[in-house]
Amino acid sequence: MILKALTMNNFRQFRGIQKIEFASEIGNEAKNVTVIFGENGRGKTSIFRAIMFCLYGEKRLSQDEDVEQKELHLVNLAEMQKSEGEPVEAYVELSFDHNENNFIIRRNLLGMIDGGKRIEQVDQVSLAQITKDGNAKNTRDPDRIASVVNDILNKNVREYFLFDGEKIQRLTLANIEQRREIAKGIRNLLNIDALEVAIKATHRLKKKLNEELSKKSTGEFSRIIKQLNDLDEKRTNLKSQLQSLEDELSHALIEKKNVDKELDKFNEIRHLLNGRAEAETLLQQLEEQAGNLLLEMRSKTGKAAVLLVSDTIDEVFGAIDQKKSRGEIPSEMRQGLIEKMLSDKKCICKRDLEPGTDPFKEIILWKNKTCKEELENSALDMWRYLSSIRSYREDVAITVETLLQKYAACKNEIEACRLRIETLNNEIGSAERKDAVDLEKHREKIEKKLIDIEAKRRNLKDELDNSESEYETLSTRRKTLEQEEYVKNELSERASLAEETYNALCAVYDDFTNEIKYAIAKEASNYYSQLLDKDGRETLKQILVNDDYSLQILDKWGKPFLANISAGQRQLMSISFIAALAKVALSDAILEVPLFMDTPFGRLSLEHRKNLVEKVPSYCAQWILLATDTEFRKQEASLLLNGGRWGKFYQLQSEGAGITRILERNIEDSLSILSEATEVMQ
Amino acid sequence: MSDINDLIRGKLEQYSPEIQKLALEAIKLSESGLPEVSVSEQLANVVRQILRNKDS
Repeated sequence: MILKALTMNNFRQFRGIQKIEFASEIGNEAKNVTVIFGENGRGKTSIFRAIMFCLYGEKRLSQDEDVEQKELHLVNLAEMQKSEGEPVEAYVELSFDHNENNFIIRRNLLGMIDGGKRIEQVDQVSLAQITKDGNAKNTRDPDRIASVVNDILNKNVREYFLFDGEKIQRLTLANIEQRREIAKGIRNLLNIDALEVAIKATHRLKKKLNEELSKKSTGEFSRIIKQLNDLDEKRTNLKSQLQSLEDELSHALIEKKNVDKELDKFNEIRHLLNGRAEAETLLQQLEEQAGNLLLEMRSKTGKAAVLLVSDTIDEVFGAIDQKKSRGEIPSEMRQGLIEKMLSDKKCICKRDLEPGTDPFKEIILWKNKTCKEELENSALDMWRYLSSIRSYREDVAITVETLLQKYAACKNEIEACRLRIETLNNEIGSAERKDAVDLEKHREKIEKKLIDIEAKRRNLKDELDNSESEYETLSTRRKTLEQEEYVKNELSERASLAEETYNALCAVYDDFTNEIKYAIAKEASNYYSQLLDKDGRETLKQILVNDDYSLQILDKWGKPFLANISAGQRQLMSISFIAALAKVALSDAILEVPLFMDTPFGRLSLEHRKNLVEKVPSYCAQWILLATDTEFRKQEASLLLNGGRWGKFYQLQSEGAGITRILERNIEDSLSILSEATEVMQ
Repeated sequence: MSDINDLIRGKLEQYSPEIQKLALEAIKLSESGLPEVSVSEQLANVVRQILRNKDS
């Protein structure tokens, strides 16, 4: 498949009809590199999306796995808004060559805004094919078109050749199901599919002929043929059971992986959950403590109240105490006695007291200084009372102050504790799982299931091996009988030929797949060493292709190292694999499929970029680069210019919100358009 | 059969001409997109033809 041109009408950001013609020369020094560059959000991925949509009718890319289908819009919004409720026509048309035929696929869309909602509908699709003889074939049958496209570029392997540079590492991180799909697609590409069908067909023929032979034969020969047929059936069933077990194993492994992922999330927050539980217990204790302190303070309220009138107590006590010191309270002589002396006019010494005399006046003065007895008694009681208060007042003050301090500290701790719980709750967020225990139990069940499956698999394999061995023995016996008994009738010969052909195809298949895998691995390792930087070359020594066509890297000690390589190295590994696939599949010819890379440089170091730009144009028939303005700069442009393979250059320019214009640029102007690099290239 | 990998063809060369013919015919029919059952039925005729040619 060599892409010729992509025309878009009102597709995504591309308002109106806009076209890209790809560099599509063929040959060793052919100009086969197209660069499309622009800032983020200008529509580079939309170009990739347009091609995928046109070829396969799919709106979704691998990066859209978290996006709802209804959120994926293809028709240009500005055009729909301008049309005010009227439908807008949009389409993508892709022209490409394949095996000397020219194909033009066009896929139409309708879009409109109705009541504020965007409505889109995929309309018809058409395929025009012009053969090398000049004959034209047209179809609008979607199934037929899908079949044609899939034959040219199998949907399952398109990720290899039309891939998003950001997601390329997925190819080497594929789960079991993905690897199986990829393997299936690659088998198609390498034509192993046809070989597999041929094997099944000859097996079917063999079985049918043997059944016929069994019916027409007699004696031991007939018995042996029947046994061989039965064994053959048994082998087929066992293989089928083994395959089912393999599927079950895959699913169980996937399930276990998913459960482990959930449990990991939970384990990550386990320490947070423990911390929260501890904090909650502490909070409870502190609240209890605060309550107790409050109760204690309340119990002291009575006595503590004196603190509020402390100054008054001191004042009153002081006043009474002064009077006491002056001898005024209690007075030396009670007022009652003095009044009696004055009324009796007789002193306690029995002398008469005449009013107006000095002694009489002295006694009056004395009387004036005294106060009533009850008052004196009360004052004395007050003095005693206040004295006792003053004696314990200090203790009360200290006690109350201590309690208040403790209470304040406790409240601070409570506040801190609550804050910690809130922080922990935020960190835990939605990761908390009430069913973590159930998950763990589920995981145990899966583990047990895996062990059971493995045991069954071993048993089935043993049984299959025994059947194979028995089959071989019986086959030998059959041949002997055929020779001894000259059972060379035509039916017997046909059955033998079918059987031998089946065996030959199986042997060839095994040899072929092993050799292909080895050849791919060897070529991939070679390409990889060309693309890696110096440090990478020293560490990463070999690429292996596993039975399911998944990839592995061996380090310099021959140990698996895939899990440890960087995203950039993973990306280069995938590119190396693809290039190797091309070389091996077509015996040194380059793969006639475009290598379409969307932001390929994102994960690559400077030296990797340099190697990529220098080498990849020779790996493939067509290299289409979608790059941001920060990825593709003067340095990268210089390398491409020096390589002489750069054919087309487009810039995506914004013309307003959600509108991009595709501008074709002269390659020679690239150095004036592009920015300088910030790193120094060696 | 331009798409058949040379490796496969090369490996079949170690077998008898009859086996080679039948195997290559099986692959060719499979490549044409026919289902397995149809391929098998067609191969039944191919087998007869091959043995007839061998005898003659």
